[in-house]
Amino acid sequence: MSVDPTSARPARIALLCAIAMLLGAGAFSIFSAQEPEPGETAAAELEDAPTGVADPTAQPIEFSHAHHVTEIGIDCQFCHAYARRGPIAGIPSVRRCAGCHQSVLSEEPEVLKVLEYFENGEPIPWVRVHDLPDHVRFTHKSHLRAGVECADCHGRVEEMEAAVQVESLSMGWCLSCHQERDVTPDCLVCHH
Amino acid sequence: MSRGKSSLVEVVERRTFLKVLGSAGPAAAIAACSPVPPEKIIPFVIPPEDVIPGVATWYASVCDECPAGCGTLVRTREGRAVKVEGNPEHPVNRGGLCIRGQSSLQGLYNPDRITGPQRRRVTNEAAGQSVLEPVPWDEAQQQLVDRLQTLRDAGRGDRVALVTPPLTGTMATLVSTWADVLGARWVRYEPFAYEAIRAANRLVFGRAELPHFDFATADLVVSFGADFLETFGSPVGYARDHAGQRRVRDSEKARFVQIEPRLSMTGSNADTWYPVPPETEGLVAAAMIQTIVGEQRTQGVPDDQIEQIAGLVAGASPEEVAGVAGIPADTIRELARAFSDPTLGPGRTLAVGGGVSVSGSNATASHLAVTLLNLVAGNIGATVDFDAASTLDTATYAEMRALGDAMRSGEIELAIIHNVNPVFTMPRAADFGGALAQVPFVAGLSSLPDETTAQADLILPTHTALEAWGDSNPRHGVHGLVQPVMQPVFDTRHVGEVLAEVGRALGDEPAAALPRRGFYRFLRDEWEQLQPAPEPDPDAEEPVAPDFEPFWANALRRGGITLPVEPAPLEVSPAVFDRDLVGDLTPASSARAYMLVTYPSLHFYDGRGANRPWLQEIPEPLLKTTWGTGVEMTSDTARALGAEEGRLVAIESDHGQVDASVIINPHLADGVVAIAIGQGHTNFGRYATGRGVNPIALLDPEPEAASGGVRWLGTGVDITPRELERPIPRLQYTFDQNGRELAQSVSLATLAAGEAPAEEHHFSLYPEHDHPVHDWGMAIDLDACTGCNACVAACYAENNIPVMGADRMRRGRTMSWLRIERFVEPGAGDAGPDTRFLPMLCQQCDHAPCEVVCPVYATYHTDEGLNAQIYNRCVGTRYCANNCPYKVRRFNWFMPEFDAPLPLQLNPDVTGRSDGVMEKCTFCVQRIYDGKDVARDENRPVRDGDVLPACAQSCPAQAIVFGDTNDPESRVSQLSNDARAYHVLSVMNTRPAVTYLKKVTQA
Repeated sequence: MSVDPTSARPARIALLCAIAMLLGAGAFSIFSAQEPEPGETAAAELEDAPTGVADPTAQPIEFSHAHHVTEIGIDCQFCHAYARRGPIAGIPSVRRCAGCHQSVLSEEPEVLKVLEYFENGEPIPWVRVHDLPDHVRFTHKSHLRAGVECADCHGRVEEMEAAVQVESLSMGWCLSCHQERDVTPDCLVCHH
Repeated sequence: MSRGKSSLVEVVERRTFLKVLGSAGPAAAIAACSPVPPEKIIPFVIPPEDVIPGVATWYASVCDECPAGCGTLVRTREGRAVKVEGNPEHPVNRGGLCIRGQSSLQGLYNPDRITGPQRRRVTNEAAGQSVLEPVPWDEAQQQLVDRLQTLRDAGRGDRVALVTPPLTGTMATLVSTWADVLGARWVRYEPFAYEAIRAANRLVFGRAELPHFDFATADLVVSFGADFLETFGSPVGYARDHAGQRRVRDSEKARFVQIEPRLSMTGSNADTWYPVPPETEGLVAAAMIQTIVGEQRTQGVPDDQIEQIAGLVAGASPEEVAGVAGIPADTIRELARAFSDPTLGPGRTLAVGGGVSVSGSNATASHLAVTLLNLVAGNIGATVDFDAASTLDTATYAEMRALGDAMRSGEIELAIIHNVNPVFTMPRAADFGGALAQVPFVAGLSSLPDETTAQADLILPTHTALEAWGDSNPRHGVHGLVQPVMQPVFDTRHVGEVLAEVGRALGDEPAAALPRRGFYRFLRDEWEQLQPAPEPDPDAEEPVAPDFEPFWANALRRGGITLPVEPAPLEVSPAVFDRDLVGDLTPASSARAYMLVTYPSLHFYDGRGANRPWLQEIPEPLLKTTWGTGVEMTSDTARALGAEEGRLVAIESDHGQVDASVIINPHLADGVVAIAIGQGHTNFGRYATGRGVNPIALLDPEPEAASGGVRWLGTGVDITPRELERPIPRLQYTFDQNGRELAQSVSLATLAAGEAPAEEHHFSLYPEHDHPVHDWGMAIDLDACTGCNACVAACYAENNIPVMGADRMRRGRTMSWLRIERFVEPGAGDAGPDTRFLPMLCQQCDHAPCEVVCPVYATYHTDEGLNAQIYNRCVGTRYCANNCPYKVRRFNWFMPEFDAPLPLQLNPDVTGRSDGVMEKCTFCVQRIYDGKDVARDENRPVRDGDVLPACAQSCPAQAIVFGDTNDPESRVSQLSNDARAYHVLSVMNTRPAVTYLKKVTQA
């Protein structure tokens, strides 16, 4: 949930929803008049469709997980270094990328982009692939400590070029795993 | 389901659609009705060493809100400070932190902070109009340099005044050097400078100091108006010591008597409260001395001195004093005997005179009497400790007035004012503002705009203590380190660096004397001299130079160091006996109808806290007023005036006139009205300006003759009601429990006899909950709770609780998860009112009335005994709040609003709530998870003390204990089985997880 006081959006949307409720079936025509653009996620797909899947080509750099993980053999946590230490796995710092690439493949066009970001002291604006709602408190640390594998949630990233979301990351999906592994289904653990 | 071009009509089933509509959270609504925008995920370019995203980083520092110098631990997340807590290792406060210290974050993120240097530009000379406009730092600093240089070139370099707070440590060294080398006049100003205490100690011992009072060893404390649990001296440390000493041990409890004209929060914690007219406290002390000396109960006083002391107080017999002070003569004698009780042993009692509350026209004489009272009882060197005295060196009010006179006469041509607000805090009739207006050029080096910086020609905004390096030396032997916990929020600079750079630009001599490498280097250099020499090694051929780096790292980690203090002998100066003490103690008389008592505010201190929304919003501890102050009077006085609560009255003294709203306060001496200091600002940001009333406008500008201090007391006033209603919002209008026994007490005798009635247990039809691993519980000791509101502020900070503002508070729309209720019962005998403070928070009931009425399972009972509230499930029926007998659930009628940049303070570990959602305390569940996480990392079970909710952490008196009641060894388990344990509204059979321990009364 957002507490951004500058955003009037929730209020507007709530109003829209309220009008929809009042108008009943009539409201459906309002909604249906708004054809979702390609790539947009429709409301009803909330439950089952993966949320927040990014267009693989939308990343600022054509980064290949398959190459780095499978071909070179770099461990996930070499780059996503905070995963076992905190809630956020972390995106590698630009210095970490540049650390290798200043001497490795430093002539490749995609690598040059990385080095340019580093020289300019700018972060790489990666597009988020796995996104949970703000009212969910997920922590990588406890899941890794409990022996959950990266691939259990993120799929076989080592076979992907650009990373895509493969699991829905919906609450039902989380809970099914919690049930299988006999872990607490307490709401408060994730929603506090 | 197919993705891509599908309309809602085609894919939405009825159930899903209603589910979407029913979701209360706007996040869900956004997801439902609009596409998810692609979010960017921004990596570090170069990762900071000590930051793990999502994990807090802590820094040890020192609180800068008052001169006490409490140690703090500041929690930062992703480079911004989100919470300030007390440092358990710091000798001054040992873990607790008061409401003002908690609120220092709202000084850091204050929406009204000065965002960058500003210069005054005259827009209309004839009309005297001007505006402040932004200017680059270098240009601004150069302007100050040029002004100083012009004066120096003209040979008037000594016509510069620098006014600062009472700086200590390295800043004091730097500023002192600066003033010396430039020939400037440096005045250290502190509104509550306790001039009379220092003057009295100079007369008796030749040491003009504020000693350390050792409440931890005092079996009887007699306080003459000292608000030592609120603002006096070192309130957090004193509260800790006092609460520790007042705990019931071997069926005994240390006694505490308070003598003052207006019941203070401190006084409401006393066993006995005697209301006396203002300025008569010293006479009571003198009468006690006469009894002690007359009955030969002095301890450790040489015979010749006894005679001289007897001579001093010969005119203050208990009978005569009883007629003036209104305390029966026998009561004074009894009190004197208890104070000099030989069975306690020497130096086991303590008399304390208040700094602001004993400051009338006879202030120095009164404090002299209090000091002599300690002397005859053998307390000097025992409970009154000069070796740990405050090191603060401040100007007296008289010196500040002299500065004002110098400004008026043209002797000061340039004034630099840093972080003090004398225009507001000095008596209005002294007209410091008018004096400052006579100074051709005024530079304000402050972080916040106030009445004084409003008169500045040039504003060079400085860091707050949370953004700057520094140190503090609040009392002998204690050296605290201040370290920046984050990057500056605005375009500000370190005041030490500004002064050094400006000074160094003024010639070779200052350039050589002032540090050139920045304040951090200078601070390290100074601390190298603090490092104790290592133990001499007999085997070493040459003495080894101590290694500074480990010493420095350790001091930074711990927040400072303590050094041994060489005890200095105290000798009573014979000249002190050469005076007419009783004559000096005679109270002043006034032709006006009422006597005005002004008192320092627990929340606002001298007014510096008034621009912080938490301090305005959290109800004042005694009268539960919020967002304003008024004039307190008894209902008898109000009736005599023809006024009632909320009526605006005009108050007139010989020196000024103000309008104030009437607040009925039954606990005032006859003929006394009272106003808190700290409100009534005219130019102090959006939260403070135009709010409440400023009693300083009524005060006599003449300092007390003997000490040079402000006469905060003894101003006569007349009051005239006006035909206007301006009620101050109050969160509690009645302090009567109506026999419901919410806040309970038990007498010491009953407790000692083992006759404290046990709580009745009721049979329940509801099934019992199973708590297989943990069952979290809390114990709150009403005998230790002082009502100081520290826990409330900590809860606001930790849990992102929004403030509502005056209008909504007037309608009762508070959002506090934790409040302190106050109830007053008639005390036994002549002990005065029996005040009980009851911290009220979600009781986490085992049989919770809220849980069974929630239609959507948004509130339920967890396996660990918590009453959970799931915000994203809540649809806002409010059934739960209606069914809660404790009224601890809060409903968001509005979208919470935080003025920028206050949102930077929000705790990312706690979800922000939106309108339409119920919220409440969950024992800081995020801190429970943190505690469990640490235990799992160390591969061990959770230990007692691993989890500390924000309220328990902040409590100066350690009244709140939290833990696992499944563990029979935990402190909370043991306290839950205490003879004093009870539950609030146990008759409702809600089975709360919060156990209260009854207050213990002496009779």
